[in-house]
Amino acid sequence: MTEPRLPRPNPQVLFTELDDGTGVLLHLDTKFYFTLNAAAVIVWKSLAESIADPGVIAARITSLFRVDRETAARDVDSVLREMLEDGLVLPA
Amino acid sequence: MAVNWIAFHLTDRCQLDCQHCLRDPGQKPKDLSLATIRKVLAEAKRLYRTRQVALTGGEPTLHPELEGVLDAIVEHDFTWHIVTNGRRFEQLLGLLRDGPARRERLTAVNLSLDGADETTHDGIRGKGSFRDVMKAVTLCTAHGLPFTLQMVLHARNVHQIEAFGLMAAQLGAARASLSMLQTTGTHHDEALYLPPHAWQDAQHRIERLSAALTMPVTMPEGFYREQIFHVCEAMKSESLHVDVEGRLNLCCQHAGVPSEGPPRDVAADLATTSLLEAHGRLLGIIHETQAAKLAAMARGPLGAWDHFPCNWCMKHFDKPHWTDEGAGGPSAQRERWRGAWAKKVTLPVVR
Ligand code: SF4
Ligand code: SF4
Repeated sequence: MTEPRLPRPNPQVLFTELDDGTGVLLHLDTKFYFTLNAAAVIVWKSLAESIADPGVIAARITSLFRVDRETAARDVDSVLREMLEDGLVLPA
Repeated sequence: MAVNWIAFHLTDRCQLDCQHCLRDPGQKPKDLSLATIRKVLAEAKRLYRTRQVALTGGEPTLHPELEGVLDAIVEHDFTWHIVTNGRRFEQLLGLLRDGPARRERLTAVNLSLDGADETTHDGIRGKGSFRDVMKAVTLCTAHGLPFTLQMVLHARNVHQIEAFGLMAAQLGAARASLSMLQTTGTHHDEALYLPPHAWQDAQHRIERLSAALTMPVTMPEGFYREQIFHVCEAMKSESLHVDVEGRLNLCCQHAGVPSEGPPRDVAADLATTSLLEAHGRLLGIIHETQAAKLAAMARGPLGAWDHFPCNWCMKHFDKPHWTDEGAGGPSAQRERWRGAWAKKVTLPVVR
C-alpha cells in the first residue's frame, strides 16, 4: 500500500501563529490574508512538517479538541480542499 | 505653527545593513538615555503641549530600555509612533500586550519596506527581511494596529513605485510613504544615484499614484520644489529631533551623517541644557540657514539640485549631497563588514 500523499505549503505563503492558537496566512503573490482556526493551524503545521497521512493530522486534532475521529478527518479533508483552491498549498 | 511632535533617535543599533543606511555600523552603538527622554518629554509637554512622539533609529526596538521609554510616553500623556524594520515585532507586541496604555497611545507602526517584492527588498536590506516585514504587517492586521509602509527610493527600486503603492493598499496599510534617498557618503551612492530629472519623474508618478489610490500616499521632505525658498517642517519647528547623543539637532536626516568640520546642525546637549534654551539656539541655526539660502538665490544662478531642499541643506552643512557628477561632500567611514556588496571588509563589529 502506498502512503497517501498530502499537498505541501506554498512557499509564497507566510504563516503567522497568534497567541490564542489561531493563525493567519498571507499569500505573498495575491496579498490576501486567510484566517486559520486552531484546528486549521494544526493542519498547516502538519503539512509544514511533511506529514504525509491525513489520518495522523486527524489524530492530532482529536487529541487536542473534543471531536470524534470521523469529524476531524472530514474537517481535515475540507481544509485541505479549500487551501488547494486558494493556492495556499500545492498539490503533492 | 506649533511643535507637533518630537522625534527621538533611540539607538544606533540595528540587525540589518541596508545599502542606503546613514548610520555608521563601524562605531560602537549608542543608545539615547532614558533620563534625557524623560526630561525632554516633561519639558515639551509643559512648554508646547506637544502630543506626539516618534521613535526612530537604528532599530528602535533594540533600545535596551524600550519598555521604560514607552512608560515615559504614557506617563507624560503622549501618543507615539515607531519606525521599525519589523524584525523584532513580536517583542514589541509583547510590550503592548503587557501595557494596554502603551497600546492605546500607539498611533502607527511605520514599517520600512524597500521593494514590492522579496528579491528587490532583500537585495537592498538583506535576506529574510521582506518576510519579517510581511509578518509584522500580518500581526498589525490581526491585532488591529494601524501600519504605514515606507520606502526609500533610489535607482535600485524606483521602478517599483506603483507596485509598492498597490501592495500597501492591498495589505491594508493606513498610508504609503515614499521618500527620496539621501546621499550616504559611501561607495553605495554610485549604484543608488538618480539624476534630478529622474527624481522629478518619480515624483510625478507618486502624485499620480496618490490620485489613483484611496489610501493616502505621502512624500516626506526632500523632493523637487519649484520655489527654492521653501521652509520645511523641521525649520518651522513643527518637529524637533533629539539625536542618539541626546542633542537637539536640525532634523533626522542630519543625525549621524558625517560633516566637514564640527557639525553645525546641533543646537545643544539636552541632558545639560533646557529644551527652551536649546530650541532658541536651534532657531539661530535655522535663521542662518535660511539667510544663506536667500543669499545663494541672490547670487544665483542655482542648479537643478538646489531645487531639492534637503540636498541644498546637506550641502550647506558640508555633508554628503548629490551633484550632477554623483555624490559630493565628505565620505562616511562606514565600510560594511557584512554583505556581499561590501567592497572592503573591516574588522567585525560586535552588536
Ligand atoms: S533598518 Fe534602518 S537603521 Fe537598520 S540598517 Fe536599515 S536603514 Fe539602517
Ligand atoms: S534636511 Fe534640511 S531641508 Fe531637509 S527636512 Fe532636514 S532641515 Fe529640512
